[in-house]
Amino acid sequence: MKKHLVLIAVYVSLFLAACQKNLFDQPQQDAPGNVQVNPNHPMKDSLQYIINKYVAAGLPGVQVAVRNNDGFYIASSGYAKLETRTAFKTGTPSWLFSITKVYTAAMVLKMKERGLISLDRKLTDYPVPDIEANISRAGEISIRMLLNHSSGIADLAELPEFMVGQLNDPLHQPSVKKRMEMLKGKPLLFEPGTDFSYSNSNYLVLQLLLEKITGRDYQSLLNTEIITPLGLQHTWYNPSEQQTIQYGFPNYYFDRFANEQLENVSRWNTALANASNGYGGIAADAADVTSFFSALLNGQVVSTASLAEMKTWITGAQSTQPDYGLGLEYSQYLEGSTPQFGHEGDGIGCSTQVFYVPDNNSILYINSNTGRKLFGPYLFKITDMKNELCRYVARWR
Amino acid sequence: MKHLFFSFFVLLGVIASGQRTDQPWQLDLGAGLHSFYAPVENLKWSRPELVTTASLNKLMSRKQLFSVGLQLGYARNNYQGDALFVQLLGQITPVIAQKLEIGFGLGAGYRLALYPSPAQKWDGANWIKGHSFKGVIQVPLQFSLGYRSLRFQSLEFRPYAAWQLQGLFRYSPDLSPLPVSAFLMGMKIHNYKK
Repeated sequence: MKKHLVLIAVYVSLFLAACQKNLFDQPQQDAPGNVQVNPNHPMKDSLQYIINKYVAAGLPGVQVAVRNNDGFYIASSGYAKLETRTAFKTGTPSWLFSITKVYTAAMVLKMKERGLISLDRKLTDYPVPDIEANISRAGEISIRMLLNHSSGIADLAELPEFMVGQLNDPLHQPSVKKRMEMLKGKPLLFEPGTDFSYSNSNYLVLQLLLEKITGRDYQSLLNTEIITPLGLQHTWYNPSEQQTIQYGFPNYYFDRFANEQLENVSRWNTALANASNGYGGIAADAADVTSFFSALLNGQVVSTASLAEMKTWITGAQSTQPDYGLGLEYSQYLEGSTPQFGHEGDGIGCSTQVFYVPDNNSILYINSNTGRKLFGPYLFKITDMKNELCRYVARWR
Repeated sequence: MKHLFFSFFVLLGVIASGQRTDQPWQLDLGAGLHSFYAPVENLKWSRPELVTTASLNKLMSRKQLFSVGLQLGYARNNYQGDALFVQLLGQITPVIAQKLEIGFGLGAGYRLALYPSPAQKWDGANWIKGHSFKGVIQVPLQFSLGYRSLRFQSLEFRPYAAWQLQGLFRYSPDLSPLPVSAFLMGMKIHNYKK
């Protein structure tokens, strides 16, 4: 009997080992080129200390960059790829996920400045078949409501069919049309314009509207409106899996069972990002993200009046402080200070954030190659790290 | 759901306690396709993979109207990790319309949900190899349609088709219960001679 039990244990062990393979693993190579930084940046040691602390608590890899009056600096800790113990480089790019919304909002504002779109017109004023067929009460929803998430349209990424679809076929993401169809028949969460509910669907609709009014696709718009004018060399929309390898993207990790064990989900993360379009499909390196944000704040992307509109905050019915502007998230890390703003981004295997502190003119960018999409220990670790970094930069003088 | 589950097992227990004990043991072999799916919330049945099951059932009542079985299963999943499971499944299997056997089953079990890729864990100083699976509670609900029965020598064969909906609990807090549907074709076999 004992002999049989040993044999069964051996068989089960072999079986478990045989079932596992590196299905989502991607090769990781160094990002080409070298980014110029100020090696004597005054925030350098503190930023390094904070990220080292969280890497010592189990984050695989973190990159953080700051751009302010003292110049530009990038700190990193941990690994870009755990399996090979490869470190982050200054030029290691990443998927931005929802930071993409800032770019999309800026392009909508540019089109408003050209008179191609009016923020207070309704969706039905710009007829797009996929919007008319799938968005409930489109005639009551304005462009502004899409931009500040007060439309009430359900978040497609939170729909059970989207989430279960991720598990069934992670490398074959639903098309824009199929994602729009997921919204068909879904009632609005509230009367349009009366509350706030963050929804990726709003920015997918905005992408369709942008493409409709300009007659060009999102990629082409991004190139001509933002990438080329600002001279951004390392900003891409929907780079292919092969390109992400070539550009030196890190590998990405996910705590599937919320038990502090990570698995490599790089290809899944890339597939998901590639299908996140105008709400999450941009990738860039830290230098480019902070350059874009700096240009946005300096009036090089949209006019001062448009920037002021982007910073017109709305407050949800249950919120105690403002939530969102037009493509910008509001935050207040220091009592009595000028409110900070920026945007976070989250994929299955990464978490990012761009954050601006008006009082000291600092732009912070955070890039972690672990996801916090599901509730669990990594949600807290990553959120705590982001909060500590933002609080530090908000208080810095 | 909890009450339904509890009542079902109480009913089975009551019935079983008053039943003849000379009913045979039955071998039940099944195979089919499974996917994360339930017929709710516009979920889509997509990219199914292979599942196989083997059970040992104890038939009960003179007309073999009830059974309780211990079922072992293996579910392949290339992207989300394979699974091995063991579950106790109680079934009510009345015969209607001549030889058509319908079945309704409910049970509880344990699933070893494997990682699709090697998991890594931080031990405070280094990244080390993690456990290769997580134990998940599984609640199966089964509907079946079968033919009772074909006889060959002393063996009786009952072919069937079944849909088994498994609710996975504790897979991840945000994905609980996670639904899995398995469409199975199988054969129940027992020796009808004593």
